[in-house]
Amino acid sequence: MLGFLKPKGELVELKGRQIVFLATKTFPRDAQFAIKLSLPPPNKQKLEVDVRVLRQRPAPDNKYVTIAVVETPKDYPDLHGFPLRDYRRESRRLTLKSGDLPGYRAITTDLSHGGFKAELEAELVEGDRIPITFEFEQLGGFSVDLLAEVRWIQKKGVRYVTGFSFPDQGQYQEGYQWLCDWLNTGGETEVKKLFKPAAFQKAPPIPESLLEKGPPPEEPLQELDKALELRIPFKGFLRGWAWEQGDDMVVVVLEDDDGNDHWLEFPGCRGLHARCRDRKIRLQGVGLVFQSEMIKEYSRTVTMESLYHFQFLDDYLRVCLEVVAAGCREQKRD
Amino acid sequence: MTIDEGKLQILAAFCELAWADGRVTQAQADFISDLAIEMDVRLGSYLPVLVMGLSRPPRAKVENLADIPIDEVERFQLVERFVAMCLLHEGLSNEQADVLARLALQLGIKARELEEMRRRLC
Repeated sequence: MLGFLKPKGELVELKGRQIVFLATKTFPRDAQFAIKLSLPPPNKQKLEVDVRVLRQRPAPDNKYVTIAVVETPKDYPDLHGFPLRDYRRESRRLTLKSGDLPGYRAITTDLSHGGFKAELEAELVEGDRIPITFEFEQLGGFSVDLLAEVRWIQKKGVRYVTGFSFPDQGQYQEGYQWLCDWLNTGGETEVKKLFKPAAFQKAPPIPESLLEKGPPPEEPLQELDKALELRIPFKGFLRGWAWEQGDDMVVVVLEDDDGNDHWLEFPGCRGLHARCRDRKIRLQGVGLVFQSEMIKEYSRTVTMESLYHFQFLDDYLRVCLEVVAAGCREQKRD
Repeated sequence: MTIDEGKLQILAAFCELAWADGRVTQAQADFISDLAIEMDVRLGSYLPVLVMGLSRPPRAKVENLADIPIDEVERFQLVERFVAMCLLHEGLSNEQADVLARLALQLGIKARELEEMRRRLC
């Protein structure tokens, strides 16, 4: 047989009857053929083996990771060949936040120097680059901003398992370097020396004099509480919201008509869900109403508006903040 | 105090003035949010201030308007806006007049000038 016509590939792993290799061609399921596999240097030997393809998936450099069954009637020793990944993947659960994420926040299922994987509530677009924030709860809630690129998406039930890589980080390089250190040291890197608790410091600062008023004394319910029904109009989009449990702070992410994000912090507020269900909804403003019910957040449609309610505690536990959306349709993102 | 911080103080002062009568009306809320946009304050800055300022009466009086780096003309224009907001409804109440006078004084506008302004805007 003309050996040089055999398909060629690079061995990744051979274990028992299962073999994984990188090939430059695609093969249909159950395709059977003999393949010549190279091994990583300094080993110059070639491994010739008959295989039956089970499945393939794309890999970098126009190659395909091919998983197959060894059909050669011979017992091979277990072999490790070329590594599939540049970096070792570790099972790490970190909170991930971004206004560009469906649901605003997610948890990583694994993480490496090269990227991470997370289950999302909706589908992103492959190739999109989005700024993200990793939160390190074990380090007092410190956070690191990074850039992530969507590399692949797999539907899993009602969710989407999404693989992200870390592209060239640009302005986020410092954060990426820190993350690498953090991974290299098994989580021993000191965060405080490098970063401020950044995630929610993006909003323009409000003068201390407007905030340092302290909690008021207990006051009886006043008539003015019941009469409160105001709307603060503005034009923009609702991008998401989050309730930081423990911090008693609601963060609402809005986008103005010029495409600028505004992170609004409402200290002393509470919500029920720490995420946003919709993305980029046209808003008319926020409303302030009296609300005596227990802490809850809900949405209801009133004619052409959707109202998203947050208990805005304001130390008095009485005021409800309504984010008033115009219509319910999702806005198409450019 | 920077001009951006000063703008937020101005909004807080308007909120205080709006509460002078014991309740804030929608017309006053619209007036203040329009002013925030007119002053080119970022949405992320003014919205929390307005939410806090309009949901409950102020717990502390605004007393540092004099520190805001604006010139005399701008101070005069600002007090005119204070008066204009007070006149959104039926005249100037005694409570509003007290708060207005205190805020105006911080900006160097005396009672006589304030009265002239009120007559002109009425």
